[in-house]
Amino acid sequence: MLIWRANLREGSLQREAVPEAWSRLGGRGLAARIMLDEAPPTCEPLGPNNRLIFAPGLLVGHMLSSCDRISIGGKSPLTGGIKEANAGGTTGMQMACLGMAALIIEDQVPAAGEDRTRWRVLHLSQEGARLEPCADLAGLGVGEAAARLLKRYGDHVALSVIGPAGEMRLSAAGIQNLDKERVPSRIAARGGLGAVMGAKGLKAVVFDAKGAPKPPIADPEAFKAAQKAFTLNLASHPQTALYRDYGTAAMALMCNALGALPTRAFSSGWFESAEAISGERLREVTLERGGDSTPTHQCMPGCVIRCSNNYGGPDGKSLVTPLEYETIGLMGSNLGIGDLDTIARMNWEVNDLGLDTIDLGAALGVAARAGLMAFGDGARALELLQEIRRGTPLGRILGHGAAMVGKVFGITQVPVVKGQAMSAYEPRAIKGTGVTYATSPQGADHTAGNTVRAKVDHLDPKVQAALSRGAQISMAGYDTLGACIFAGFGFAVAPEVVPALLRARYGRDVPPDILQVLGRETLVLEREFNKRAGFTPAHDRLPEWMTQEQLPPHNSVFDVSEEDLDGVFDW
Amino acid sequence: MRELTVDLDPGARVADLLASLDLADQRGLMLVVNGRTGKLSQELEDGDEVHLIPALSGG
Repeated sequence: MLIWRANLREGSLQREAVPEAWSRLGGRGLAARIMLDEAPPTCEPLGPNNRLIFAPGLLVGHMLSSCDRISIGGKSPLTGGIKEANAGGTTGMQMACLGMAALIIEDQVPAAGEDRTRWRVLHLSQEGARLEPCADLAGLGVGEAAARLLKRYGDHVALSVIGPAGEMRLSAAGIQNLDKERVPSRIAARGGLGAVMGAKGLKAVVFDAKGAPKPPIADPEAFKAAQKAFTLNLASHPQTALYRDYGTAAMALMCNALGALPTRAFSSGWFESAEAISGERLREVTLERGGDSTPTHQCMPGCVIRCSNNYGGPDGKSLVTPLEYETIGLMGSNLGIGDLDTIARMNWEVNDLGLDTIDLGAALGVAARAGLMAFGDGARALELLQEIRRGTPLGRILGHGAAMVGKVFGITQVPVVKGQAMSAYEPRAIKGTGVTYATSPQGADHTAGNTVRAKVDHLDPKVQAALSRGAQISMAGYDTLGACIFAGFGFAVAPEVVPALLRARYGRDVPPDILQVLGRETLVLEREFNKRAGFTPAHDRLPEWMTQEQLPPHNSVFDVSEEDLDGVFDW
Repeated sequence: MRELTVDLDPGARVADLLASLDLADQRGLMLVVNGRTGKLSQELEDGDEVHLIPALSGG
């Protein structure tokens, strides 16, 4: 494995040996290490000194179920801090086959004004790198851009591509990757890395691993044995069957039952139409409609969980794939919209623009508080998304996410931490996830450490910090391995499988608690970057209004103590 | 989603409810009573709303 370093100003590619200090890391941990070592923490995120880093996790490349994820990292224009966003799809595997421990994209394509001739595609193969003009792709939605790129470079490639939102450098812009059917809808969504890519002048990165060998395994027999054990544990776990049948959408009724489903701009935790947007309903509809619709789908080849789906319309044609819980929450209940078809259409639009549905859903909620749309008005919501497509000032405001909308329209009830919007878990009802939102170096991010599954009183402020700590460490560990967090319950059954897989893959001994070791190291690196970027404990707080305004139905406020928040990373 | 109204003896606990529904293995279930995380040993009252939810974590 090598570090591929592409400099966009010079148009050069170096392939370097992996430095010792980086060699035990992958994915999110490696991205953090590289950022701390190379990027000035006070750099302008949209400027030439920020890096855009693609790093497959440590276990990526072997079709280990649910463990081929790609981490994309850099400094976030949304939070002003360290950012890692990861995605499933096919990018991780192709990078590993090309022998890339990481791809570091430096500097920017030299710009002479804002015209379309500046846009480039970075094409990477065993032969090296080509930086090619792509003026014809400028301004295109992700769907059309991906289709043209596949025609141009071959059906077999992996793509990372930005939409018009990334080109416009909107802070909620993400980077789309292909699923195994080549639909460009596996998005590294959070924190505006799409804007970083746009600021660098890159419309797309093409990973062409044709003819490349599979990544090496030091002890193939041991790896195979550990892989078999893991796959069996995962496939037989009761949660796997639930994810396969209902997908993440099954969270809707669960959160509603806990009074934690963000409803009407985070003004309540209970939605009267939750059943209409539930996993059960989604399953019913997709089975009824047939055609492109399916309630179960793999985003990565080899995944036995199959939690993804394809949501089609009454005519059997796909409306969007996937339709995930976060979108159902933030663009459904959060907007008072109780109709899956509407949510699916909005989801497709946001995907094609290359934006994060969480921040856009939160943004539209704030817009509703400001009177720009009525709750429940799906048609108006779609109209507002069209403003982004047209690049109007209102569209740009929305595309920068919930914090910007709040600022511009004078709304303080904005559900963000470090400028990034919260996910579909109300922190006043699931206080442990609230602690994660407040303290994660990533900003408000449920994938950084969700506590909803813990069998605790989610409203008791005293037990949450420890839960969040444990969850944040594990999640950072999985993100460094390249494992989907849902693979976590397969690993949890037999934790010794993680070190077994790593030892077999790399031929190096690792401690039995390597997952936690990697997780803690990643968090320490990220917190250090943020500290140097100017973050203080004052930034590890939920917004003031959530500590004061009660959330129905429990009428709770977020009341985990500041002392507890400041102690999350004491270990 | 199935919704049931169940009659139980006074003083019945959540564990009794599960037994009456033939749900022996509740490890994968979240017990939510009136919106709060519940316990097997918890006593139920008339009109209580109990959700038995597979303990998922979404994304």
